Amino acid sequence: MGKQLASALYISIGILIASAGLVSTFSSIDQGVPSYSTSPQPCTTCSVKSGEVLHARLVGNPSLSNFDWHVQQGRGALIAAGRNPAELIVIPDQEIRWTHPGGELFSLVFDEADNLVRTNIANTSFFHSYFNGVQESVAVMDTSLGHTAPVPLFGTIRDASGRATHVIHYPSQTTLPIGTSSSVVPGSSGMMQLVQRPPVDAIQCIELANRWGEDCLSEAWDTWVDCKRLAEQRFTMALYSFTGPAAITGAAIVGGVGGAIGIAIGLPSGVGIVLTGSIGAFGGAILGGSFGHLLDILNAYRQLQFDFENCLDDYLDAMKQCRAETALKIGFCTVGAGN
Amino acid sequence: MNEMGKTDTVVQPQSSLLELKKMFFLYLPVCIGGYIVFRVLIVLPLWFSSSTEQLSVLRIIFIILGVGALAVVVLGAVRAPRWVEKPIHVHYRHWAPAFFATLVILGSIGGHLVASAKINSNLALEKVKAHFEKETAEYKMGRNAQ
Repeated sequence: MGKQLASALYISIGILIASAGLVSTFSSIDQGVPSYSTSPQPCTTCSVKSGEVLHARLVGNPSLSNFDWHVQQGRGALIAAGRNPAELIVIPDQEIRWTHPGGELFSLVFDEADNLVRTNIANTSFFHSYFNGVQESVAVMDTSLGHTAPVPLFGTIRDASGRATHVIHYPSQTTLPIGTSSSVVPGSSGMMQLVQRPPVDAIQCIELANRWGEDCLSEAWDTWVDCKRLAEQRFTMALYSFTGPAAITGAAIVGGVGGAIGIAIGLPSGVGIVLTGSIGAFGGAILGGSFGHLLDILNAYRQLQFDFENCLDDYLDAMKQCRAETALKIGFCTVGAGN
Repeated sequence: MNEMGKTDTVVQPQSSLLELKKMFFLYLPVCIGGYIVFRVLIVLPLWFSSSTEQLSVLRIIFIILGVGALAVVVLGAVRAPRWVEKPIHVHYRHWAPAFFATLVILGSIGGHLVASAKINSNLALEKVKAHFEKETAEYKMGRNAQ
């Protein structure tokens, strides 16, 4: 009777631990491919370092109710897109171009004195003003594109060292921190602060643009190498890890079975059960732990494939952006030289 | 002497504790050794091979090793004695190679995965490098054309 009770108790405990271990193991396995998402995080006051790419979604501010902007900033260029779809590309030390979804483009070309020398906007209100009494600013009102309100402009232009030299903001009455925007007052004019335009020499300009393209490319390569290295580090870490839940599962199952066998073959009920069960449990832990570890490696392998694809996509996107921006720069060189 | 003129072997009954002791000293090294082999097989591609060709050879070795170990397990199962016939340490002695071989199978699968991961990493590097070199050459050509 006592032997049967001990056997029942031993097996029950074994099954209980095994269940807990199994649940724990499979809940960790079922998580599948962990996400290393680069999607934008909510951000209202973002600080931007030189070269950093920032995504900012502005939410929760009543004055922003009409706009839900994503701002991407980096390499001195700013691209914004949002619910009111438009794309603003700011090229430091050169011109500013603005693409609309319909394919319309307005460009502003300024000379060294920030005089507007060329634009394709029909009705542009344009004047000089001073912002904070320090930097020269120009206000532009777009009345030609059929908007009921001017579209907001915002962002920061940086020089080669990464220092913020100019701030583009809208409306003119509001100074905005980096990475934020404001609501649009219908009928009001927007203020856009401009950069000093260097003397234009088409050949030199194109060469600089190409060199910039090469640097941009190197940066994309470095980013890819970092991305790949991090993915491989995560994989290697999985190789050296130990799997607890699987080991417990294996130990419990084999321990329980070992104990039951010990009783069945008539070993001394006390020492026999414990010793047989323990040795069985040890072997089970080894097998169970090894199997769990293998599952971890399989999971890490799938994650690595996923990470490689992401790194590659990011790299190709960066390359595309380099190409587009370089082409734009070269295009501006030609416009600026009067060709 | 029996009817055939041979001497009968007198089998002394062993105590259960003695059986357990034998089992313990046989089984413990197999467990620990098997686990070490398992872990070593997994990290082997990280230690010794870097080129895609070497890794491909290593993958084939892992396949052979895994299949061989599987054969050991299957043979062990086929030739296993019936439980009622032998003392327990005999069973453990019989199953120890199968246990060890199971760990070798798991290690071979793991090693195969790691080698595949390294091959994929090499391929990704080559692909992006080729792309990068092509693009850089285009930019340089653009500059030289000015």
